[in-house]
Amino acid sequence: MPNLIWKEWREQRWKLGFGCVVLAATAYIGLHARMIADEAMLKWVCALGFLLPVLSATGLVPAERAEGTLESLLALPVTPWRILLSKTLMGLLLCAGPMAAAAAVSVMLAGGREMTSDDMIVFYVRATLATLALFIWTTALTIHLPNETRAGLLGLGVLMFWVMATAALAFPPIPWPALAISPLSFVFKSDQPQYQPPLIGMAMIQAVVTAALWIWASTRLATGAEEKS
Amino acid sequence: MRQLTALAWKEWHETRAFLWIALGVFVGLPICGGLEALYQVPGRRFEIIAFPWVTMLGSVLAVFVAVGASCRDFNGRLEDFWRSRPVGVARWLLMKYVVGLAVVQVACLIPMILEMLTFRDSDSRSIMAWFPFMWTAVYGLSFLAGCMVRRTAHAAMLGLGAMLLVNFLPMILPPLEWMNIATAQLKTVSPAEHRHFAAGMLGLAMAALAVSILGVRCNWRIDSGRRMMYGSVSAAFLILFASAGYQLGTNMPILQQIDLPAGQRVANIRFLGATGYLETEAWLPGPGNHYNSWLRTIDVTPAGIELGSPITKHDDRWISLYRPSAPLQPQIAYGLFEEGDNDERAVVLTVHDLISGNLPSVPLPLTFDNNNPRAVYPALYEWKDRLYVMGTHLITLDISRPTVPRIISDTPWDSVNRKWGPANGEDKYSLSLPPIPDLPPQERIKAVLFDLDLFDGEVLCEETGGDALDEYRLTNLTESTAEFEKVAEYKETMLQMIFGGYRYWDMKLMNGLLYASTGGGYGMFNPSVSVFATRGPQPLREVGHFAAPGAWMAYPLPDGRAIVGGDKLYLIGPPPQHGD
Repeated sequence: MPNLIWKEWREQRWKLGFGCVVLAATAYIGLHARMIADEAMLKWVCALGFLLPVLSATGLVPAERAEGTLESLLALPVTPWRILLSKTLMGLLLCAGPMAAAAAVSVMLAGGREMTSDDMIVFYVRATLATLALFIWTTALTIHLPNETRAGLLGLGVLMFWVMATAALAFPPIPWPALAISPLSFVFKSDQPQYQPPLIGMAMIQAVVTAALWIWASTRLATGAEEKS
Repeated sequence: MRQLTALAWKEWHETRAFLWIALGVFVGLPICGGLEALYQVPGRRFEIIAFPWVTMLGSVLAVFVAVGASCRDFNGRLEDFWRSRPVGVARWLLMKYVVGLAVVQVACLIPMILEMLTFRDSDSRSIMAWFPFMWTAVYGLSFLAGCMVRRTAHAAMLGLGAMLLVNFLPMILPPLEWMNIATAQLKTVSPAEHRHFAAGMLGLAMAALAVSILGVRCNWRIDSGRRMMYGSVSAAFLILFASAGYQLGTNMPILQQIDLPAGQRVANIRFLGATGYLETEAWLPGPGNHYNSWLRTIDVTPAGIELGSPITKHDDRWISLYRPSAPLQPQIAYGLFEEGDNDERAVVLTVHDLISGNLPSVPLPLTFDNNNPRAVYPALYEWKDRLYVMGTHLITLDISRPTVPRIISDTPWDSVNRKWGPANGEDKYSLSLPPIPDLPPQERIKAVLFDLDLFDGEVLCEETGGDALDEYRLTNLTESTAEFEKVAEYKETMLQMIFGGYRYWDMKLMNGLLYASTGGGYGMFNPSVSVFATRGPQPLREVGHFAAPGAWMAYPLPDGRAIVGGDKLYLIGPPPQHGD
């Protein structure tokens, strides 16, 4: 297992650096220039962060399928779920790392200016949880695709679907457990407290949903890709 | 010649699919929209409105056609095949370039011609005049990307990055303003500026074409991979974002900020005489959801501002803030109210005391015909100790005792068809002034203007269409008319819209500066305040910007500072170029 994680780290670490630089630079430029209110700028940074699941999920399995290295990996004396677990851990780091870098820059630059540092951290934690849940969704739905391009398009489709579905589920308001199925419910804010999903409740529902998705994905890792086009 | 014809036929054969697809989108979808409008609004003319599709997607089409044309024959051994033919590289590439560019221009211009023929209010002439230069530049740069990278997907990403830079960089970097497509479309732009724009875009395209030919002839290649693609697109994004920060960044210092009570936000700031008033409001949830409002005085000193205690709560007296008030006793405000159920309604003068509430109304010898579409609603204006009512009669009231207005003259007057109110973007604009001998002509202009805060005696500013500003200068003033000429217009840039500018909402003109707040909807769209210089050789030049939570209205003070209201109250300094 450590060897698998080491392999993923060696292959994907440039994406971690890339994500950290882009997200932290966006937060720095936006908050330093004060183009818009700080909270609005954090929303922009987090919206950019929602592309991280697409970037990371498509590069883990579909890219290996396209390059023909997944077969070699599956031929190793290790169970497929361990392979997927190592890739998942790396993917989660690719999503959470840049968000943490952006949060650190934001708190250092603008903490206590318009928002308190605590509010900023809570904001980023919620956005990071949404990003992690989106990563699991994207991984599960793109795991059988033969190349990064198709996986990327489907990943963007998943993101757009959940953006629209969350908006549709929120108006008119529905009971929060139904809304909490959406990975974006972590960042949903309702004016009416009774429709605001509690963080713990959302996290529990999302844990169940993402665990089911991950198990489903692990069964599909070794079943082969769709026909290459 | 036969060789060129054969090459042209081959390119056309391979590129024409883009033309049909583009026409399907740029013509087909507007036709669907036009038919839908016919169905929804009976009696409406059939209109093809293609400009949103063409202006938004024309550059994307240019990228795809250019990349397709250039990469197609560099695939695998096709390049070796073409190099083995008895045709020069320049000739072969030029034909690709010309045919692809022609497809882009035809695909974009046909819909605009159809729009011009069917849509009366179309601005298609300016689009057809200037957008083709930008499409040519984007096409040239994408063609260069295709020739250098030779991989379709990667070249398309680079082309899209170049498209973003050509579209947006001139909008946000002042030194590149001469290449701004948004400016080139404005009617107030001089022919020289138009020539500079066209020459700049064509120069970019020609340079890209020259490098493309040289690169292919010398077999220059750029090895592209994932890192390069991600890196180049992210670099383009960060360059644009940093440039947007340069244009839209806050550059007015916060001198003081005051927290409002929890949940309250600023609804209005007004100065009546020397006394400032701040109205705040808060949404109270629960049974009978409603807004509560509070009124406080604002005390302005050189050291800062101080708020008084709330003087009224959940009362409709705040409406007095929007009314003319008595110069001798500013908290006394006046309004007009229609009485009766007839079409021809009697008008009374209402008197409000900001502190104690409504006072007895004054009946006026005035009616308003609700059924006459040409009738102009009576205007109300105060000056010194006189209050003027201008409708079917010209009535002068003495307000030396502000709580008890007294009619001192009444002259029948026909206000029908008088031209009052906003200019609505016209190049020349004249106002009919009411014949009130006691009132100086400058004051008469203010009396019939829609918004008093937008005229400073010489300059008149207005918003048109929500996202544009016009500046007019007074050119001729007589006893009966005031004539204005448009000297500048400013259209909100796409980046300003992206970063929250929804529409110009609240505007004030003072000290030669126009403070324009964008937003509306109480902060839903990240409001901010932009400041424009109205004097000097370059009117409506943006000199300041301020953004803070809910900052949706500004009240400039005579000393150059300004009070900005939002989720908090801010006292800000003047823009950098206008500080002491």
